[in-house]
Amino acid sequence: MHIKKYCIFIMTVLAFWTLGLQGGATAAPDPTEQMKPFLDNIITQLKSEEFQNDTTCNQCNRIVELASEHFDFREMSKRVMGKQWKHLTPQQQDQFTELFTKLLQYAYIGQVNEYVDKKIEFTGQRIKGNRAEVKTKLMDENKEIPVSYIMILKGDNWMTYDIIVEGVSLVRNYREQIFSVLREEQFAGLITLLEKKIANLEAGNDEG
Amino acid sequence: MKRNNVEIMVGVFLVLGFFSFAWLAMQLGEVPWLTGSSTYKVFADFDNISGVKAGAEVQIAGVTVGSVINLSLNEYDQARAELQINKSIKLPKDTIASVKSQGIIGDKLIQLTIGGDEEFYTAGEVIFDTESSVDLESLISKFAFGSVK
Repeated sequence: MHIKKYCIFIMTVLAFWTLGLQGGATAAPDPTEQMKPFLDNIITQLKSEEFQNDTTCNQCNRIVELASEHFDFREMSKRVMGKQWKHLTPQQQDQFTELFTKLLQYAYIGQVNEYVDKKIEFTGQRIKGNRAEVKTKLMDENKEIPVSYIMILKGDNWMTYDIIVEGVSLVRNYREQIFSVLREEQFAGLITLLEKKIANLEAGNDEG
Repeated sequence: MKRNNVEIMVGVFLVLGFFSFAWLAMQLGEVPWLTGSSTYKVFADFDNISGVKAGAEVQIAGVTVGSVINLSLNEYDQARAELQINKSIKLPKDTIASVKSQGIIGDKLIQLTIGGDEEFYTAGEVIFDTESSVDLESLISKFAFGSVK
């Protein structure tokens, strides 16, 4: 009778232990392994003739659609906004996220063609808790540009919230600019400014 | 008997004097485990921290809020700076630490750009978002000599 009890106890412990092990193994996916196919897919799409012949507006939307798989534009907007984010209503947060995403897509669409021919080399990664950095190098015959993707783990996906090019952070760059606009012109002023800038970029008479 | 009283008074005075001296020394010397320090330590990892030395300032919006007390390498062979920050300053988790210089050729310092996260870094934690020193020479060479086309 006792032996049976012991057996049940040992088997329960073993069952929990193996479950725990499996849980541990699946808990943190590898950020580089997630980024590789993601970036490859984007580059292939950008190279396709269908994309090259499309209108700028469609190109922009396509890129954002592709990027949102591993780019968290809301997290990016939150970090760019800083302290002010908490004081915004959810509607204002959505409005800012939408405008900021648009600003990024129009500001960088002109440069997309420059990146299509470059090779991406993954040079390392570091993980700390739920955050990770994947380091890459954009290379062509005569230039090497270090680009790091800073990511946060959301569910099973590593989502990029900052890009560091040549040691300069995109979030910090915009955070400082937006801080000064907010100080002088408040949120309404910032929205007007962003809308104006996007309209200019859309019209194609502003280089970024 | 009278002489004894005087001796006791002198003894008490001496002991009191000694204690006040010890108290003064601790106050001025900031012995953390006795007085409770007015600063706390956090770390920040950088790819390249060249130019920053121990003793360099840590600033927020140009105001000095602490200093760099030690530089070492972490497990990824990155530079790890140990920062001593005033206790009154709270750093949200989305704070960005950047290596900047005072003027174009001035001393290097660490600039913290505060974010708006609800969680704050506690003593001993590592600031994840950092910007390294921009290597001007390699940037210039890249753009001056880079394109052959």
